[in-house]
Amino acid sequence: MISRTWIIARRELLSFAVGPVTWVTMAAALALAAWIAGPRALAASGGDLSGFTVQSCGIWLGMQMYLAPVLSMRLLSEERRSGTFEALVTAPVSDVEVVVGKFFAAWIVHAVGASIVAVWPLVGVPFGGSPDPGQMFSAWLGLVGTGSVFIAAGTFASSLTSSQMLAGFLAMAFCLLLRFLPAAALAALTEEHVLSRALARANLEAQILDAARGLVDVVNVATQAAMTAALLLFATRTLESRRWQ
Amino acid sequence: MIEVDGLVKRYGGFTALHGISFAVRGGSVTAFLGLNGAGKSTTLRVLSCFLPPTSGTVTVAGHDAVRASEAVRREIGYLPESVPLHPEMKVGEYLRFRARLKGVAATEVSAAVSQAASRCKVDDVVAAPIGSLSKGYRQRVGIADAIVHRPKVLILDEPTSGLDPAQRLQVRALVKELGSDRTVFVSTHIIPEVEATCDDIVVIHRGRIVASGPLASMARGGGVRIIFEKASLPNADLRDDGRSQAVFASAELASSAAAAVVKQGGTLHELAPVREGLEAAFSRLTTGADA
Repeated sequence: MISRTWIIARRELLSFAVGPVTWVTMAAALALAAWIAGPRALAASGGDLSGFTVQSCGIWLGMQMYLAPVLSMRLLSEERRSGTFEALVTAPVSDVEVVVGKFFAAWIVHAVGASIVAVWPLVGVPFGGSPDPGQMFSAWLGLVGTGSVFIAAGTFASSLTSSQMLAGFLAMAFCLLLRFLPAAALAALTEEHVLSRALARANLEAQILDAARGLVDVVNVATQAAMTAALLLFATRTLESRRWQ
Repeated sequence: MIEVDGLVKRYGGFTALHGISFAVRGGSVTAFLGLNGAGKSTTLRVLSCFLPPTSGTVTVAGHDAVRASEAVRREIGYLPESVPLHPEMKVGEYLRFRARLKGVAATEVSAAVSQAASRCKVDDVVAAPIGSLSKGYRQRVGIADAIVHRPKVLILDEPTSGLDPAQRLQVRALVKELGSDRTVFVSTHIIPEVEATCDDIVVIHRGRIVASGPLASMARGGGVRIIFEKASLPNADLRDDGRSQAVFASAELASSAAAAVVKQGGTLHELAPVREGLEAAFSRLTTGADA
């Protein structure tokens, strides 16, 4: 299973590599992040690279709202539109392998950007700053973790339609819901409410702030993995729905 | 090699296949003939496990298409009508990807790709991007993809659709050649293609099988004709040469009519079975006369 998943992921990576959209989007996101959390912010931080990391991660969380839909919107919708989906699923592969392989490719591309953001504080070294490797690692873990949730949401959106554009809008709507709904719902509930604890755990913004501060929380990682798995399961079920017709 | 029994396929309230049954012999090239919208593509999509049947059973190479879908998909090579390919990939790159996906061992991929490309005569374009190829080449790349893992059964959905006459001849020859060492089930609505490439035939019309069997048996059965003059028979037609002719459903009826001609003092010129061409048989089967 892993072998076929990787074969699908590798083909998708090739498609990302030859398409300009990936590189333009990634470069634009990184350039914008660098402009916001760049030397000016570094100078303003007064050499406090810890605060600078928190700021960079917060900005990248915002970037993920746009980057994840762009990377994931075409994963399945384009296969359906072009007809290659029929050739793909009549090969001896399972729907789970198709979904996970495609998700994995987009996740790897996103992880490149997240890795650059995670090591961003190194730009502070010439200014006398001293980045904390532990904090950079936990920031990276948080960034790729939240990224995986958003890309899984985009993969699910892509499974719902053969229109890339519509998949992109749906993905963005899902990402916005995932980011803001838990916090909004939490604010509307009392602390004792049965859902409060679950919503607090599902708050991706709080998770990324924990990670950016250097806190590796296993529960946060497990929550992100569970959210990712659930969204990929929805995408798989959507593909399988052709068998229920 | 392929057995379909009571296959029903419904899309919502629309029934595309009404409990069809047929079998495809191992090692044969069998045509799946029908007009547009007859249910050919739906049947092939069920055979290739893309769509499940609503009811009925489909067995391919000994495996049930519902319960052992992956085993069936391993044994078949399937070319959908739209010939879906990735235009951004090079031909060799694409065939390697498909071979690996279909379970060809990493050490055998190069040989399998090279063999499939050579057999389908696309070995001269392995380094070319698929998007730059002509339709004929793309069609052959699609067939190379279908055979790259050396499947026992090849299922082709209208492989000559949209090709020019020269390309059509090339693909037709390729299909015939591929049938030399595997079972080929090919859907089409082009009669000369069937006559040139196929051993057996299955005819579908409005979601029902209306005929199946060896191609030779299909191109007969037009009744028995007598040609005569100086006599009259009911339902006889006058020919351009001044003689009359009448066609009867059986040899017995034709013999009785011939006896009547002789009794009237007429001249009997011919009493022979009518060899109905495949085109006429197909037309008869799909206009509802025998359906």
